[in-house]
Amino acid sequence: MKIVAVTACPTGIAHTYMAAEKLKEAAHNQGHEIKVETQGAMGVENQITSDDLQGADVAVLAVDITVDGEERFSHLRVIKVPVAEAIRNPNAVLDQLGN
Amino acid sequence: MSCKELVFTCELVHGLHARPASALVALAEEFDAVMELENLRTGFKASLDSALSLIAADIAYRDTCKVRVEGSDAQVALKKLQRFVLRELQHFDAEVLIADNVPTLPPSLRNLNINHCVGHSIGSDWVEGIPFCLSEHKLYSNRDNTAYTGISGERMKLLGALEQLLANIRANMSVAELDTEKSILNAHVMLASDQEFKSRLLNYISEGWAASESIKKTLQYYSLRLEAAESSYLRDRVLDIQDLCDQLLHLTCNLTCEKTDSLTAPSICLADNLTPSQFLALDKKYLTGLVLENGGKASHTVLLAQARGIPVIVGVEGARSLMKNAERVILDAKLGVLISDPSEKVDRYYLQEARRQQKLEKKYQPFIHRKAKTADQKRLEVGANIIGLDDAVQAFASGAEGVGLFRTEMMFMERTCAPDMNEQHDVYEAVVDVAEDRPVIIRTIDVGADKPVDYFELPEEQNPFLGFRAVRLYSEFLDVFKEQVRAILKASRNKSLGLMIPMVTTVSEVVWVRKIIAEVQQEMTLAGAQFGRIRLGIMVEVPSACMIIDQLSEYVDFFSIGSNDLAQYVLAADRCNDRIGELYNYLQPAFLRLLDKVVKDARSKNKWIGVCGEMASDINTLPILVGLGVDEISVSGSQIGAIKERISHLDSQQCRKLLDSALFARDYREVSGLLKNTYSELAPRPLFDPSIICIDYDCLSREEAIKQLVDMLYLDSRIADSTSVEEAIWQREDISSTNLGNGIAIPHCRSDLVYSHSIAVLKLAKPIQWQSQDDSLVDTVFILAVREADTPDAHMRFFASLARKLMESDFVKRFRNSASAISVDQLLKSELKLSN
Repeated sequence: MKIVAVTACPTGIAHTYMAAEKLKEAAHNQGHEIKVETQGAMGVENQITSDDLQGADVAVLAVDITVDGEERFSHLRVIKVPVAEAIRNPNAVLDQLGN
Repeated sequence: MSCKELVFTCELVHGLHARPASALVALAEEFDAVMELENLRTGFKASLDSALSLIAADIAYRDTCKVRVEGSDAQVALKKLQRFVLRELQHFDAEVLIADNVPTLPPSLRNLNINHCVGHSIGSDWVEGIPFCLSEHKLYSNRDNTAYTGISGERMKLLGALEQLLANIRANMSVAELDTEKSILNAHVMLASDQEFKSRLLNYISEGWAASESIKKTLQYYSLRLEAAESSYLRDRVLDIQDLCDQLLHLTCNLTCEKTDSLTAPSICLADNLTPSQFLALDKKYLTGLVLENGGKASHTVLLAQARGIPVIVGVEGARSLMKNAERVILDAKLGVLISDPSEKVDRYYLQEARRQQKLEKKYQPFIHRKAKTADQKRLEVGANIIGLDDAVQAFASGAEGVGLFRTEMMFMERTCAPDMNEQHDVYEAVVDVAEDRPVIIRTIDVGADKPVDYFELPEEQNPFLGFRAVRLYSEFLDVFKEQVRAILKASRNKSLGLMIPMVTTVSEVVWVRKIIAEVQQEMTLAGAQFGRIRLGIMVEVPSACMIIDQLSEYVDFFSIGSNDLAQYVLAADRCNDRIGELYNYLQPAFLRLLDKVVKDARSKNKWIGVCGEMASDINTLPILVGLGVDEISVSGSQIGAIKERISHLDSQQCRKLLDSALFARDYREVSGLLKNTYSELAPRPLFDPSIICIDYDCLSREEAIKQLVDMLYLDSRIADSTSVEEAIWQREDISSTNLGNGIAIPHCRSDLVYSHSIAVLKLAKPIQWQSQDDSLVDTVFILAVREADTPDAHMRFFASLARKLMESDFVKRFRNSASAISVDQLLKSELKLSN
């Protein structure tokens, strides 16, 4: 499956990047393709482009705050979880994707 | 017979209290004229022969008062009075130290479920001990068992008691150990011998009241008057009257003194309130802390306790029941809190506080006897401003590298004639002796209409700051000036004393001064007197001098910038005028440009140049002074350690860059902004280093761990304030726990109180519970402190890198295997690819 994801936490210092790391790791282990955009203290990085969106099957938003450009995913199934959940149980988050 | 009037505004923040009132009475006593004061706000009238009536006139801050002076010498009296209210009155507030804010408890303490009550903070100490409730003060329950002896009999009884009271206080004064005790007892002598107090007592007796009743009525009168006073400081004076009336009652009624509570073990004592006498009667050996349920912050009892170094808190509601039911209490005068039966965690908090204090002292300690240098090894001498020998001793003990400004005018003021050569020489020589081989700059007498010296008989001036003062009056008072030069030359034997001339405006003034010095040297040679070489310098405080530094350099050895007066003249703004206070600021770009020119001009002539004045003592302005490249700053003694420490973090070239931007700022606000924003570049710190990595820390709670880490950041000069950064971290922590679940927690914050981005590490000896019982245990805590900035900078990336690393089990494993601060430091450096 092809996943697009966004991570964002209140201070944007740490959890944004941890969640990104965890989601990438879990997706690869489960054989999914993933691209994670981080919206942290350094601004938006690894931005998800319209090309990325075209081939995507599902969007995962691991966010504790409102993120920029959420409407980009309106045509996709969106799974929204708290950042901490993505850090602690990334596999469980991806399990929600189904098959 | 003439009659004069004077209207003035009381600039004492705490109102006209006992000490200034006594000083006014002492002033009035010198004259035959009758002086009467009216408080135009309250309409209360008072006579200047009674301190008590002045206090009772309830003269609060900014009250306007009118004084009527009538008598043969009214003219002279008025002039003296005018000078007193304009120049001296405001200084009476200096001794009253009051912290008005009630600080909130830091999260590391308030989260610990403490049983406590809160009062006013009035100190910096804390103490723990056994609580002891002192027996209550029972003034009104005392029954007078003596028979009424008629008006004349009661009168005799009262007068006798008053006399005895004065004798008792004076006896106590003679055995008082501390100056504060003496001065407070002296204030009591003034009150007890106050004419109005006496006549009020006697009036009640003439009305037929017994002596004891008259005392109670008098107390009631003053209590009502003072308790209604605007100023809390004046309200606190009720206690002094109560003290005296209390003692008078005992004397008139032949009551044996109430037995004072005897303390048998170190105790923290509680009382509703204590009079100064009751306090003095307590055994200080066992009095370790004092809690006054209803006391005021500025009472003499509080002053007495502070003079003894006894922590005290006042106005503590609920203290009695808390103390009664506690076996042990902690009294924290800094936070104004009383804690009963502290838990182990609370004890640990105070242990941390004690360690922090020790480390802070230790941090400044190495700088005390070290020459001040910037991070890039540029020298900046840190000298001291002094007014006499005591200051000099204290300043050198605190690490002064010299005396940059010895203000001598204090030696000339408040006396009837100028001190002679010998008297001055003794003082200068004593200062030179404590200075050893360190340089001392003595500024010759700087007086004028604003700093009056009576025997100079200077006329009042419309604009004393632009008038006949300092070097401008030396030719008229040539003998006085020559005598001072003689004393300085003599004291300079074998030493290098600097003689500094204030208020120089033209080159010819300096030429004249040199001629006089040469004359004095010649006279001394002829008389066979020994004298030493001196260096000659001038204060740069008149704008004209700034424009002729090159010319002046032909005649002087050094310069010292007097920032206070110079800023005032350059900006045409009186620094005491609130309405233009915005203009008077030594960070104004125009002023900085002038300083830059002066320093450059002096440099090009190879002349030594220093800065004395407030600007030098402002720790936040240091980068500007380093940027200017002056040789020396002269500051008040108590700041030397902290200033030297701060200098050691600054980079002189970056300071110069900052100054270059400041010169083109629009106003001082923009310069302050520059100073704040660029602090981390001026004092560059690595993201982490072994001093903020702590291994095997024995810790009980999340609160303790966070406090420990924040204290480490503070001690390493990385944050501006511990409590605020702690608050910011807890705010984030309260949104959601930062426990990552793998034994690591990463509390963090972004704040403009963070000077430099920092990662601090705490590895715990034993794992602790982080948030709740079902939460996984934590044995490693990282604090990520990020500096708030408008745009993200490159260093922020390292926080993201660390965050990602912490998700890698390999990294975590290697991290856990690092057993020392150094190895943790190295691991982080290599993993985060940091070059430093």
